[in-house]
Amino acid sequence: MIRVEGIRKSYGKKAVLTNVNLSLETGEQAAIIGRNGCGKTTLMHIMAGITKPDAGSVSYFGHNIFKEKRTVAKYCGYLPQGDCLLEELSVQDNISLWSGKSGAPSGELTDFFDLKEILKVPVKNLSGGMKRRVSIACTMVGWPPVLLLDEPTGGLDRYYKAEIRELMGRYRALNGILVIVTHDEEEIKTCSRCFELSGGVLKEAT
Amino acid sequence: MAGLKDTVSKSFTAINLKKNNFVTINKINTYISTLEHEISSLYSRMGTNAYARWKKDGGFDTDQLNEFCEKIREKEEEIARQKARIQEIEEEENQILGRNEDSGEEIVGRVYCAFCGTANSDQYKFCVKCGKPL
Repeated sequence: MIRVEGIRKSYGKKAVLTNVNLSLETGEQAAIIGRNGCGKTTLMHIMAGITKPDAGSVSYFGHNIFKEKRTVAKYCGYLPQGDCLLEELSVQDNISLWSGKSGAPSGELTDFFDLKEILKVPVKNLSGGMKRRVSIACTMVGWPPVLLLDEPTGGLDRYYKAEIRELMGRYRALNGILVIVTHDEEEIKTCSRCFELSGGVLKEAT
Repeated sequence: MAGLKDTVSKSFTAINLKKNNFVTINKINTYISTLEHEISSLYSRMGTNAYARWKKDGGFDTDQLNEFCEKIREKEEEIARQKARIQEIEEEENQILGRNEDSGEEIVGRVYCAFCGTANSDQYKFCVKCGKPL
């Protein structure tokens, strides 16, 4: 489970997050919504261990990510906004880079994301939706129980959006926890919980 | 190393618990079968005696019938007690092995986490308690 407690973060004099608390159990999918610039991505960065907060703690399954450095890598996969791939390399090479292991990725991963046919294809030759699918596959190479996805369907057409939603649904069915930053109404509907970040505070929306 | 020791220890505890409970529940079930058999026998004797009495005197001995009925009721109550005991044992086992009763989730196939020993649905990829891959 995820426990985010009393997170505070300021950039200079500007307080972005004043008191953020979040608690999620396995099998839950939470949407984080809010206006542009309200601090959603900052919160995701903090939850992914990229940015250190001024105060507060983030723990996955009882492990504080700022005290136990390896916790993030073990428990959490983070997809930043846009894609996180090297265009010139093939899908397999990109996955290898993320996993730190050479050779073909596990059959489980390729089956889950249906990557078998495109493993040797350079990423630059893929469509936007396929790139996003590969990006999510990269974040999931170690099968983390928590996935943080920053606008996973942003800029995709409705067919690819449905495909990504279906992937997220399958991951959730495996008892994983999903935290998604999104503006997409359809995507919010598929989430079990929805939180609005406003004025530096996260409130559960109904 | 300590984690491995802990995991092995938990697995052995789970196996021992399940084995002991299996033996106890089997014993109770055998006892219940015996009681049920005794009830059938009482029914039969009650009927035979009642008919013999009716044939002889044209009536029934209500005292004797009451005696039989009392005995049957006692045995039925004992069966209910033993069935409750089985349920208690099963609930206790689920609690110890970490089955989540609060979620109300029906776990059809079970997989035990190799790290913390918690029972999980076999549809799951991640442990409910520790998040480790199953």
